[in-house]
Amino acid sequence: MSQLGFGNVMKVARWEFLKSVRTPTFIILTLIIPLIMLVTAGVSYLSAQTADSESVELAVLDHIGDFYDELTEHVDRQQEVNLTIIRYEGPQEHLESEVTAGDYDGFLVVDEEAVRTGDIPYFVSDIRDASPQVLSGLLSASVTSYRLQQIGLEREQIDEATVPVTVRARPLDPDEGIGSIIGPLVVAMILMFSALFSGQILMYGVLKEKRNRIVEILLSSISSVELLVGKMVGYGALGLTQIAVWVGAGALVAMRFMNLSQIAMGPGEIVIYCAYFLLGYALLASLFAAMGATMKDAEEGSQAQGLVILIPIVPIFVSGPIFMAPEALWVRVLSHIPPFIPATVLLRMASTQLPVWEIATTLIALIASVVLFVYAAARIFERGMLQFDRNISLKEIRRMLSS
Amino acid sequence: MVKRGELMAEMLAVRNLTRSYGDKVAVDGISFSVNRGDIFGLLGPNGAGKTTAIRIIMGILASDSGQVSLFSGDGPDDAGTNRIGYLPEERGLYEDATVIDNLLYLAGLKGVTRAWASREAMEWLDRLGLADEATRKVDQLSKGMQQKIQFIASVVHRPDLLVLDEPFGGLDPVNQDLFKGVIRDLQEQGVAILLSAHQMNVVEELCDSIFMIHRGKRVLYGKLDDIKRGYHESILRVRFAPGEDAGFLERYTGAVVMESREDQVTIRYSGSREVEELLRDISENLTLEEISFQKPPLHEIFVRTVRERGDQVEPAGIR
Repeated sequence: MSQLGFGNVMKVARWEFLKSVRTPTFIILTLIIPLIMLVTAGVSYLSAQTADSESVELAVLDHIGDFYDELTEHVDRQQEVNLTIIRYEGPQEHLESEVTAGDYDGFLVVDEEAVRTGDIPYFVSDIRDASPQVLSGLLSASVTSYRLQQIGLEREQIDEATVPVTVRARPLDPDEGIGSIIGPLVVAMILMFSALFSGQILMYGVLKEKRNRIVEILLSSISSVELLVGKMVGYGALGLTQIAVWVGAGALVAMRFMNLSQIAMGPGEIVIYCAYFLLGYALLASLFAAMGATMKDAEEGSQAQGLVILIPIVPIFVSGPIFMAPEALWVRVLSHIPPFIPATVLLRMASTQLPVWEIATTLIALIASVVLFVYAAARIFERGMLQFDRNISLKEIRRMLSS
Repeated sequence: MVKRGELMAEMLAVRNLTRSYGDKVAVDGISFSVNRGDIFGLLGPNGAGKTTAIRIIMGILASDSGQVSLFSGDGPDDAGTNRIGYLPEERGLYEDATVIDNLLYLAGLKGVTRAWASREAMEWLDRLGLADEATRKVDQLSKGMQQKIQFIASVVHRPDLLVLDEPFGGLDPVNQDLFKGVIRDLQEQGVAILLSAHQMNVVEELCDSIFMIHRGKRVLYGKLDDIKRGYHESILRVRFAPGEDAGFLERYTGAVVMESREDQVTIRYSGSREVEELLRDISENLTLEEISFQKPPLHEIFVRTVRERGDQVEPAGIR
């Protein structure tokens, strides 16, 4: 097959990148995703704010007499809910009328029986407005405290006994934070998006060059491998540019809600993820380019492309079983089958610590398959690009690869 | 202007080139060479194997056997392909890019610098009346304008060998003349031009040497003048005094009357007598007013040569 010169590859890559980065499609698509992210985040933030700022006013019909004071103390201590409680002295029927009239959001009825059983009646005019889960923690703490008081414990003793219990998982390796879970997942998603988007533009670019016949002029100046690799690099850079914009926008949005240092990754992890990402992209891009070279028009392209897109994202469809059993034999086998390697391995990395030997074997399999795919794609590309007026059959593709 | 000694420098040599597609032999052992300053015609009907031969020369297709030698070296390598300009039959440009961007990119792939290519491109655009279109997108231009841009793309890097596959296809007569003029100018500058065409009248006007191909095989090859001179038939048109009888020509050995009127007869002569003898016989029998003697047009030579070999030529194939 023909030679591969770095200079020519870069000329093609530069042209493809600059030509596509200025197109309205690219600009709109690149900006629209962060915009959707911002709008979605904004809407959820605003609705959370609104929910927080809503105040709830409850009446308490305390038949015991001193439970109200205990409840007041707990209401004052908590900060989650903007809750006001008011002791009600009148009969329950009047209170029901006042709640119906909207004077209160609801009322609680507390008596000896309720405190003993823990079943505290909570009345609201419309059951859909009731949020018992908001009150349950508060009432649970108040009732427990009240019971302990009745036993004769002092306030300090009660506070000591009722310190809330939380369970927080900690990794044995202090360096392994949430980043080791989110990192591979993010990389897997980015790989799919980038491959999908860049691969699609790459394939349509190849089809376009076939359709407008410029490919023959190009192939008279540079080799088909240079053209193919140049396109892969150019469109890869295009995909990375888009991802940079998306990740940048995503990070800005995420900063609003979480501490980004939690998902920070070590340099080793970054290198490994980047290797899977770049090799995975090269694998899929060569597949897309070869497909473009075998087709006559864009309509054919979109049908066949749908099938090719499905192949690399198969691991995403079975991500549940992969998460559940990342060490299963079938998952390990899937990790070494070329089109599935990047997504499967990254998903596994999110759920378990992969042994070094397996990272090595999957990377070796990936590198070997990239070389093989690019070589095969170049052969198909070389022969298919000059078949202007027809689709290339599978039989012909087989012949191209074997000759 | 090219010096006399430089003219013989061999820019392209093709030896025993063969290429098949399955059972079909597209190019069958053809050999020819093109020298500096030559306009060389590769002629033949559609499907004769011209484009396949050209694609092999350009390194786009591989041959099954045979050799292509460029600039007296071996095969197309980087330096070699950079010295060739190519206008393929299947033409195209990036329609969504500007004229100048197209030209600079294609010139860049030929190894010339952006600044140099930019200067050359503007000169060519100016020469072909397209200077104002440099920053317009290609899809905003007419077909004729696009063809001119494609031609510029093939010469903007100042090639030593220019390969033009059907350059006059789709051109109106005005632009055909314009292209002919440019091709002659390039020849003057010493560029070797390989021109493939099926319009033989156009080639006859331009070419010094020709290679006629049919079904992948050589039909005729050599200097155009030599081929015509060596062809055994001649066309003789005689105008004589009205009322005289030119019937003797119908019985004349080697003569076939093509057209006969009251004072004029046209014959095709392929006999063994010298032309002078034939003229003497005619002047003895008729009072001559005008006589013209010429070789048949190239397309006729082609068709007859093919038929004499027992082969067929598709009528739509050549013009």
